[in-house]
Amino acid sequence: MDNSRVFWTEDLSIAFGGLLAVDRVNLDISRGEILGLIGPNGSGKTTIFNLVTGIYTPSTGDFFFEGESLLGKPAYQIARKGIARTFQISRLCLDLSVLDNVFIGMHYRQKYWLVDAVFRRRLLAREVSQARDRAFSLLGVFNEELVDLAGKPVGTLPQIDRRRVEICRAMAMEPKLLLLDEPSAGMTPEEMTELMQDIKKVQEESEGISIIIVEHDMTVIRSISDRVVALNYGRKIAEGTFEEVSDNAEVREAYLGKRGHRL
Amino acid sequence: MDDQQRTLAGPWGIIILLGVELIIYVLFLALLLVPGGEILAAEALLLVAAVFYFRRNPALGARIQQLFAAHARIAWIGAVVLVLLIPFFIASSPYWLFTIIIAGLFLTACLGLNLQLGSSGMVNLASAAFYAVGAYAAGLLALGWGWPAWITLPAGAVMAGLFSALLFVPVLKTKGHYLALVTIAFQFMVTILLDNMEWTGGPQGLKNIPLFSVAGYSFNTAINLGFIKLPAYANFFYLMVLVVAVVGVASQRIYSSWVGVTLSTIRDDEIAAQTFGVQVNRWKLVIFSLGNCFIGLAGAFYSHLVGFISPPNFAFDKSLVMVSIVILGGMDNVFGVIVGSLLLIILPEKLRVVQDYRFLIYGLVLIIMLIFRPRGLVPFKARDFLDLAGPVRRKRAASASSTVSEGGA
Amino acid sequence: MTFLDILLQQSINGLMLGIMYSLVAVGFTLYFGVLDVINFAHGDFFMLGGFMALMLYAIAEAVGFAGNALVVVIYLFIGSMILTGVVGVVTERVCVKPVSKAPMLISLLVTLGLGIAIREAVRVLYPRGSDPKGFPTLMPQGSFNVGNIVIRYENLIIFGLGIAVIMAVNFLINRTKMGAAIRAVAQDGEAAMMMGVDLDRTIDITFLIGSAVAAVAGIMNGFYYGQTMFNIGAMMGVIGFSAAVIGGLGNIYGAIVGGILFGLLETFAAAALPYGAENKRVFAFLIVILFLVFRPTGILGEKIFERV
Ligand SMILES: Nc1ncnc2c1ncn2[C@@H]1O[C@H](COP(=O)(O)OP(=O)(O)OP(=O)(O)O)[C@@H](O)[C@H]1O
Ligand SMILES: [Mg+2]
Repeated sequence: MDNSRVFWTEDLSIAFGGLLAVDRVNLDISRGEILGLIGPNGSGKTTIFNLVTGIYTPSTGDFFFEGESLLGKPAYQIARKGIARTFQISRLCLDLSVLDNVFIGMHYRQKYWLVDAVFRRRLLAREVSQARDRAFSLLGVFNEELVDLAGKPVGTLPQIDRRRVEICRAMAMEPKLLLLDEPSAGMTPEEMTELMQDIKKVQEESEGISIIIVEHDMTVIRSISDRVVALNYGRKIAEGTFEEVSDNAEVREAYLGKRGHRL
Repeated sequence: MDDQQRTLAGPWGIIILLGVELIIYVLFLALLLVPGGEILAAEALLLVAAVFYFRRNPALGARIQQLFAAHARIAWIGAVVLVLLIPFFIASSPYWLFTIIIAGLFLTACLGLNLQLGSSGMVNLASAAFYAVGAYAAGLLALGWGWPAWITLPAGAVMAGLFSALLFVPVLKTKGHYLALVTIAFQFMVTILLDNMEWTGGPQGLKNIPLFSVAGYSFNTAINLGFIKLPAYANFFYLMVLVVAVVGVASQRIYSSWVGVTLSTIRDDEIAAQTFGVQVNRWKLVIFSLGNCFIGLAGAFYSHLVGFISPPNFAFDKSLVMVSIVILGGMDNVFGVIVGSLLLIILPEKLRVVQDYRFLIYGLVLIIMLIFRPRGLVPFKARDFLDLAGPVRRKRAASASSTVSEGGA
Repeated sequence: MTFLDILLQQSINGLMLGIMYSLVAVGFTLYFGVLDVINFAHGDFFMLGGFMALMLYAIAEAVGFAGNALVVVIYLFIGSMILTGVVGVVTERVCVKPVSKAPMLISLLVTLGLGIAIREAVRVLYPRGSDPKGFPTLMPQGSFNVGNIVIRYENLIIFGLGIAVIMAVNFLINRTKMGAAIRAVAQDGEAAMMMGVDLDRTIDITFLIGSAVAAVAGIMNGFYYGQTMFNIGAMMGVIGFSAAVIGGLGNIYGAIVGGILFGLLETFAAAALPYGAENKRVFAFLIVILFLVFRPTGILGEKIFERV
């Protein structure tokens, strides 16, 4: 087994009732790589993320992180191994402050809990203050203004900033593998480019982090990913460089047949 | 703007602040001491007028808030002194003193319920049942084994915490309406069982539970200070203030900590919480038990306050009152719970002038308030941790002026 | 009496109660379907139905129209169903629908508050409302035996009536255009609206039916026990909701099955368990909790995957 593979799946599958949403998919990603995951609507991209973060349990198949099988592990344990994600439909807590939302990303690294919260405020205060500095520097990468808005409820921010906060929350976990589910959905092309640059920047700063990114926008995929995997009806239909995949006949058909997507 | 800031910081600011506290205090005492319903109507009008005034001048409200933030310590000292003086002003009316103690017990219980319902989103409509566990535990231990009250009080809390285990599985497996149903069913089960079991005294309940006494000093003695004689309830009052202070400070500290952040996230989105490494189940159980401990503590206190408990004291309607306090006051918000318990316990007593209609009014007010102000009287405020981690120090010199925050205490 | 006799006798008693519970449970399921709310005040409509009948009876007596028992009974049922149904629709408009989109806790507390308001309104407005109120005996008394089993005429009539109402509701929901609208809204409100269903009207009608059916149960309860009281609604609400959940929330047949199951559980617990008579509901609620934990979708509900 070669060491550079951080994460891989083996014949990962799940069925909802009669529907095979993910069908014997084999993925792998090495350290520092950015893998683009594409496919028409309903092809199972989000479901794969849900499987490998422990939200759904696979019907069959297995998946490995740093050589260890994570099959059947609860979501929180998988997270603690170092897999972080964002959600296609944002799952920020809108009533909570920006800071709170980023803090939850640091959850399991915190040391001072219930008893300390009541009796050892000093220690907690120091930890909070350090965490806040880290949160600010993360937020600052994406948007300086977010730092000033850190005490405001996330619900008061514009959509694009919410996306950024969500990525910050995942980055706050200092993950080794980051799963981004359509991070640029609903953005203008300029905003998209900006976001991709930010993501690149983040990746360079935290060296060695691997990213799987789901995107519908092919310019984004082309510009950011080292390698691309295409899905259709839950099956992997192509894999390789962007050019290889986009030239693949089956991929073209999947997109054109479905809804005339331009590649 | 800068001018204003300076006046706020100076002695005038402090005087204004204490003035505001004093006005609220006087209005509160007047409500209790002036007989009849007119005072209630007058103050209600005043309140409505004030609300409208502050709506039209939000700047004024904001300044008062700043004032309290800037002098948090003085504001606290002022408030504590005023609270401690309450028995002196209403010495002539033990009935109201008793009612305030009851409000304090509800406050204690509701701080526990708030941890479950407000902070973590776990519906608990069986709070009266856990209140009963605390009360009966204290009563039985005191009657059966002669344990002194300073042991039965924590014992009642612990017992309620232990009884939480009965609902551990449902708490993890159900949520929303279903958890509501589970807890209502549990509540009814407990009331029915209390009624039918012999060792809890059946429908008669427990009688002659010894009232508090510490080191030979019975709480049932009036306090004679020479210039004034405080009714015996004053003893209970001060003990209640102590309990509320401990539970209140603990609650506020939990709120303003990693635990608070974690619970809020669990409440708003369990899946997201799990995805970031939160052991959702573990936290739910810890908080469910801890909340019930607070509720049980209040129940145990109640036992030793009135000396006589029976099943109707712990029926479903008590659970309802507690839930209304938390929701009407404002969820996940210690201050909201304080406001809620004062209003919902003291107002119905004041409404005794309309005797028969008071529960009808209660129901209607509940509906109206929730439809028009679903976030409660004191809505949840997003955490900024300024109180804990201090004001934000900007490292990047480039980003100019340092008007980021007004600072905490 | 042999064991079999006891079993049969208890089954008959349980069925009686069960039918009554089913009628209440149907309302919970209907409301949950069209509005996604649990109306915790629903038990109080059950109580209100009984009191409406009492009021109508008092009026009938006052004007000297209490002659033919059959006519009076019909008048009581129809009158109370209409009045209770109207109250149901009005309260739905004023306070249930406005909170149906709010967080679950808010709708929970509002409907609980509505329950208090209805209960207290009855207590305050009805003459000597705090006391238990006797129900008139309008049904034929006496009983007959089948083997060793005793069956009272009154119970038989009530039972038959309950079955008839359930069949009527079933017909309404599954065979009429109105019922189709209700089912469409329950499936997907937005889609139903696009297909031309008048959402508000459908919700009104649902509450009209739900409250009227609860009223029937309330009157049956009055005749069965010979009396009623202003505060019986809270418990009946919990039982009705429990029954709806055991059966499978959102499913009419589920509500019926759940109600009957709850009735049977209660009567068997009372007959078979030590201290059963007093604690029968403790046992029944225990079963409900077990259901919620191990089969939250109920007997007839289907398993659903939570979408992420
Ligand atoms: N919880 C679920 N229950 C039932 N079916 C599901 C569930 N989650 C996903 N599916 C189905 O699985 C298939 C794959 O869905 P998935 O969300 O993974 O697609 P996707 O590739 O992310 O599409 P999109 O580009 O629209 O986000 C779809 O047919 C979807 O309806
Ligand atoms: Mg998707």
